[in-house]
Amino acid sequence: MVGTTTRRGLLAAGGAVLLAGCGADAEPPPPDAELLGAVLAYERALASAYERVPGRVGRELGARADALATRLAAAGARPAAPPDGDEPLGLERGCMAATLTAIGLLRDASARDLAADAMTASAQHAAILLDRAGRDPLETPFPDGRAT
Amino acid sequence: MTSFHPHKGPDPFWQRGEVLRFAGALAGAALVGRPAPALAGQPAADRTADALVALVAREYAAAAGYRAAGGELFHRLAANCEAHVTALRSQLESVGREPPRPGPAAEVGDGTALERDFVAAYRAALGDLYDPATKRTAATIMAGHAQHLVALAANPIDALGETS
Repeated sequence: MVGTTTRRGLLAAGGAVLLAGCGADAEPPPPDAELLGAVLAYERALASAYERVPGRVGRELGARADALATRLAAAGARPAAPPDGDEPLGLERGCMAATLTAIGLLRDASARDLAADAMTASAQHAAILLDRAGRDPLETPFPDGRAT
Repeated sequence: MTSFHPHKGPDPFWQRGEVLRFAGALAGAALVGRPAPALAGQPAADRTADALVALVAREYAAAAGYRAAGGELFHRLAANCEAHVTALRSQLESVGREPPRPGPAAEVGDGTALERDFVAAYRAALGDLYDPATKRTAATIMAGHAQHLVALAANPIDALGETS
């Protein structure tokens, strides 16, 4: 009797997990245009923010953000609301977070490649900004800030 | 062995032990927030595992190469590669695959070509990875290698454009 109860309990637990999993899967991720749109909003904000950064860093990083924004718009990204803040390093970090969210969910391979470009660009830009500020450009092995 | 399912007869899937293991595995996977082990037998999980094994092997080789070459920056890069191995091993275990053993050291040269190849390898692997969390782990490691290129450049801004 005890064995039967245990078996039923296990089956119920497994079934509940299975059903919960089906429920989660039944919730479709946002469309690619929306996922890329969050990245586009950051790239536009970055292009604007770098206009206020003097010298080659402002010019080159701004041009790269602008080019990515153009590619994202051409790929059908629907821009999200502009992010808060106008400080480049904070925007690059926000852009990485939005891009990582997108990379996990994007369906189209070319959209994922575009997000990968945005991710590497923001990581490199953040490293350059840290170096320029006299800080460690490799402050973590994981640029999204995770511990491991 | 007695069939557990009352209507299906001796279908191996419905053997009592299998049912119990399946249910337990599902519950366990949910508790630790990992993909259900039942997925490990499916092609998507196999592709994920194969891609992760290749990336772990590459990180091991780079870490050994950087350590052998020596120097402060290369030791930093080696430590980062080792941290990447730890993160990838965790993902690999979640799909039920044993991680590879460390192999021979890579020829690192000045590190630039190696890091560029890393970025390309992770970018390609994103298409083989199944689970969103695993894709994100690979993507942040890819970005970490892109930052290595910045650290290796005499003028960091010269590293831009080397990854795409």
